[in-house]
Amino acid sequence: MDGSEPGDGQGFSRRDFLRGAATGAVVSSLVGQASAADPPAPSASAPIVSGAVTAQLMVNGHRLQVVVEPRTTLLDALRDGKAPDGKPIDLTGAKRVCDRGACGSCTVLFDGKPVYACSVLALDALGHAITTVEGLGDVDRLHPVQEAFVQHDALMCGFCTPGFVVAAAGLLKANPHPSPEEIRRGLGGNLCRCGTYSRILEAVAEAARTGKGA
Amino acid sequence: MPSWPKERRLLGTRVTRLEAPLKVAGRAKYAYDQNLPGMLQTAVLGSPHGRARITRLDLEAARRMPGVKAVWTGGGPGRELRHHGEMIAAIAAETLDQARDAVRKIDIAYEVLPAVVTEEDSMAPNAPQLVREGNVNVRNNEGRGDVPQGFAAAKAVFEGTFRCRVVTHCCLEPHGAVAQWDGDRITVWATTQGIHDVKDGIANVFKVSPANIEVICEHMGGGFGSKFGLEHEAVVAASLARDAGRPVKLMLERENEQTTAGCRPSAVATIKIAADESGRLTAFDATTYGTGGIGGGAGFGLPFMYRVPAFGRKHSDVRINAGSARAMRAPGHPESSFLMESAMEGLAVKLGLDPLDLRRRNLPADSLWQKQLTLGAERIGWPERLPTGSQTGRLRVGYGCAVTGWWGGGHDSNARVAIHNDGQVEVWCGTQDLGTGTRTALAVVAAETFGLQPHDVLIHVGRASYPPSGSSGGSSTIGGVAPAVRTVSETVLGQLFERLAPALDAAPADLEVAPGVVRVKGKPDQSLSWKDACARLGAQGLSAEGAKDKSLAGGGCNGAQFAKVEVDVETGIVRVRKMVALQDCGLIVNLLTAESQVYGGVVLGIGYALYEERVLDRDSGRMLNPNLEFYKLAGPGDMPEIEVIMQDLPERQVIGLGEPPTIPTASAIAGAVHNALGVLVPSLPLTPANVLAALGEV
Amino acid sequence: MNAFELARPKSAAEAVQLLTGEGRQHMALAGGQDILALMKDEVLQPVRLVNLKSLPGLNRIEVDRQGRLNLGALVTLAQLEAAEPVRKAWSALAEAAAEAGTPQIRNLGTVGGNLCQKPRCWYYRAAPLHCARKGGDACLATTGDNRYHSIFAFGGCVAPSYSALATPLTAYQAAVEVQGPGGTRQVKLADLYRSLEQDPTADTVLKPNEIITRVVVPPARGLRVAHREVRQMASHDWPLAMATVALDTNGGTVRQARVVLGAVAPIPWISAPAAAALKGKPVTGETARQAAEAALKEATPLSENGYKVRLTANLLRRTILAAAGVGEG
Repeated sequence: MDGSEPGDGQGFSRRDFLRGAATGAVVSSLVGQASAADPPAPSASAPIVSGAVTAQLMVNGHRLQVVVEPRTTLLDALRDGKAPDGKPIDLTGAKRVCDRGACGSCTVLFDGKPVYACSVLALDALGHAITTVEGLGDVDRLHPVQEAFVQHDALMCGFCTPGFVVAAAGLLKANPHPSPEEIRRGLGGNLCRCGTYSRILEAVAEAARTGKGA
Repeated sequence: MPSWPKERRLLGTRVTRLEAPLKVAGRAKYAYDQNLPGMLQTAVLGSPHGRARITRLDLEAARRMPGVKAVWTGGGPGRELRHHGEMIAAIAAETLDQARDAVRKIDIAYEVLPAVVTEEDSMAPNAPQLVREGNVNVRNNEGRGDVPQGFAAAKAVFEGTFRCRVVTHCCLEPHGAVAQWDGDRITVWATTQGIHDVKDGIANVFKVSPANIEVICEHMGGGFGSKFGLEHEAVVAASLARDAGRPVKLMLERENEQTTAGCRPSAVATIKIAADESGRLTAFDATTYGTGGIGGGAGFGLPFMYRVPAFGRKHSDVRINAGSARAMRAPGHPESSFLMESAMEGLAVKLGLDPLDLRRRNLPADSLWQKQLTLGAERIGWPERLPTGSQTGRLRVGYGCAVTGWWGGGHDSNARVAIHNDGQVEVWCGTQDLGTGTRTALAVVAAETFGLQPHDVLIHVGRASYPPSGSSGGSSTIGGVAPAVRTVSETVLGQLFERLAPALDAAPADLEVAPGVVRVKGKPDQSLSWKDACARLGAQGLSAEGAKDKSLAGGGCNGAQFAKVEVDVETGIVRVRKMVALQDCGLIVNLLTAESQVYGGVVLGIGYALYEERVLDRDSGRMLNPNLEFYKLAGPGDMPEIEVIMQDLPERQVIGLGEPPTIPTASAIAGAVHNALGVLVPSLPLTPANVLAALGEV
Repeated sequence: MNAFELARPKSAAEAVQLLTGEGRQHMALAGGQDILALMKDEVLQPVRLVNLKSLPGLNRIEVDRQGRLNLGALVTLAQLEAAEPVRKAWSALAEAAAEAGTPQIRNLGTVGGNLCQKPRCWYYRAAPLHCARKGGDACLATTGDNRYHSIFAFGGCVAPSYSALATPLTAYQAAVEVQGPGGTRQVKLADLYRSLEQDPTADTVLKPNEIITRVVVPPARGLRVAHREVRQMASHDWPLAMATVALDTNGGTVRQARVVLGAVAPIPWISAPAAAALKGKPVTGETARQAAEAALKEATPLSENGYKVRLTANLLRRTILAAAGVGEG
């Protein structure tokens, strides 16, 4: 696979998937057992879930069926999860870095608010709208925060970048005109090792100034 | 003979990164992001002890766990484990959870041995011997001039002991690889600073012809010196993949990354330094040591950038039970800088000299440093600096400065350049983009040469099957790849001129490119658009491959940094208010990404100055903070105003830039803290504990 | 993380029933910001998590007719930080919430979870190390690297209490409502936490099948309250010390004071000596200093954390002055 290409070459078109029309009131739910060997199928109202189940998550405006266990984090479901037919979910924009809620590289929006996907169980995301960095914008149709990051060179190795972009988008959604101090605080849950902070702060201020951040 | 253009259209301007849209949109695929069909995931068992011997290792129960496809181990009973995290076994399974479940079923027992985790404990006469060669390697390796005479002739002598703690690289993308075999061919997706080194390593370890190896690194999530060569993790991944007959992903968990994947050694120096009436250094003597973990090496240079006629030094490399050091962004240099600049601070007080003045008097009068010190002092507001130790309030403001230097000469590099008949220019170079903007730099060079825009050039890097280029270390990449692309582009341009000369009714030597056109020099109307010109090339287009012309790269760059800090003497907390970083790197290829390198160096230096420290437990030998919670990385809120001033000196050719800007940062901050408090805080990081101790408040 | 079953109760009573493990380890899941990390590190390995987030009505912030603040246990730190009534009448609580964790943590982390977070000690959180909190013989931090640990001794374990809310809630004399098999009971914040010596198996008085459902905070009318903390990094970092000071003053003289310190003791540290030192006096730079000195007289710092004594004394002095509104000296 050529990493410089946005497509994934695995017969699963992520771009089409992301570009599809967002649907309205879809209630995510558990939709059944992954294998017949497991105990009887729980419904969404069943009191106890164990073993592998197929969960229906709402990600980037789409219903997404993914096989998870109770212990599967939302981050692992997005990155490593597979649909019941075995196709990878392959939403690898959110990164696994500390896996303990300390670095922000896995930040996604949970009902519009930034959270650490490593610190949420996938089954706890049922019924909530999840937005990953892939859902904010695409390469040829960037979100204003993403565009500002590009213009200000607010990235180097890029591994923390999706987390910062999502955290910034969440910040501007809640507070479209943050002060410089509010930007610092709003991004206080994210770490970068290359040292891009100055330019990240500039980029987010710029996205806010143009009033298109949200 | 290739040369850089006298008039630069793109070189030295600000060009956004080619891969930036992929990265901000979360589409850039790193090694960690590979999801190959049938790929297995790996979990690792690392040593829970600082030092132990394996007494029992039974992997059978683990092998029988659901989903397990292959098991690797580095040795069973009798094997001595010498640091926390040292890899004992690795298990590849269908899912990561299954692999982790299987690791939990490994039946293992240890004889726990006493661990040694401080340099002083390791140097003690009764210390347990950690390796056959002994714990301490003493090197009486340096000396020059008459040291006793130098001290005797001095007006002022200062003596002090200073210490830098071990810090870790904290690459956000951990070490690891994805490996896939296809018969006797292998493809490795690596997170590496040297794809060709990985290829060479795979060939040696697995006895595979280089012709059958591909190494891919399109993007990588930080290396900082810790990702050279064939890493152990990649070897294990490839072994597991071979055994399982399936692609295997092995990426270290954070704890193992922090304990095993490299660090900057510690550095301790007891320095005696002297100067004469004019403030010129006369003598320097130091006893130094440091630890590079179990691997040993902890070298650093002294007396750093300053001229001292007489100096002596005795140094010891000390082994301890901790993960081995690896090169880390300017290896040895931030340590040297802090140790030496701290001594200079102390000496300035003894001499009654402004510390900036003391630096000036001991750097060459005609050096770029002098100009940088003048400009930096102005930008930071040095005239507002109060005399050291003169403040009495709760919040005290201080100013400090330090200088930096680095070689940064380019490595060897080849490139291939093609022009297609639709006008598309394509460049291949077997380098890797660490996040420094290498890909974009190549595009700038090619676009400059052909009269195009950088974003119109197709750049291919990150595959070992591309024309060989060096590893990215020592800030040697830009001085390798930019000259290579320039050299080969000029070759191809020459071919193009040969082809077009008849059509333009001129000699090839009389042709030139301007934005979007090929034309006859001095006759702008005798021209072809780039597209029309290329349309004449036929199906084969033009291409050439070759090595860089070495005259396009230079070496040796200078810099200086200034810090303004505020110290709360009631809490010992240091906040950096402003940094000014002045840096030269010869001919600037891309000003935007060059500036980012300087920002990055300063930010790393702020962490080194204030926050970062690997903490080891003296009893268990474990790293106590193998995470990003108590291993403290500076965040957005800790950033001061940072002013970056790049000095463009094109006559010096292209010089590397990654490392020099992180060398003086901590020293400038420590100098500023000294100025604010009137006492030297002798240990990095400048934590509340260290600051309050220096103030006598503990 | 070990495999576990996830239970989704519909009521608090059902949650209690599902938590009753009879020898199996069942634990409650709220925001998950602490427990999931502990499970990944294999410090905790429950076989069942009981997900409280499905419980109705526990995410509300209400002021009742008696003027008390009622916080559902599932109220997030972000909700608390933003709630107008809290910002107005219990501002120190809102400020403490705003300083806790990071935006991402505050968006999921709950009031109940913040109060019940496990000891944040690097010995406790390293699964292979058998510290006293995990049934081992000794507190490893006491003899090991304790630079971030407690300077006030309280029963054996020296892990500092980092709950951002416990410090101000103790100062506001709040109580938690606890639901268990036998119904509900109220526990004062000041009685919530247990030392290692008091109970080697639990760090709060909650039984394994009890959950916090509500926090009730008395009206703070007339009180002057300030909360301050010292963190080394301005970005996310665990505080080196926290202080909440609540003053009941009459014409410039302190009638009653409550002084609570965080991150310096295994529990929110109520300083009676500091309160006594302030009682009956006007708050001045000097009386604030004396009160702070009185508080820190009880400190017994460990080998590596002596610096926290001065730092905490200075923080407390400033917090007293801030509460009194006479500037921070």
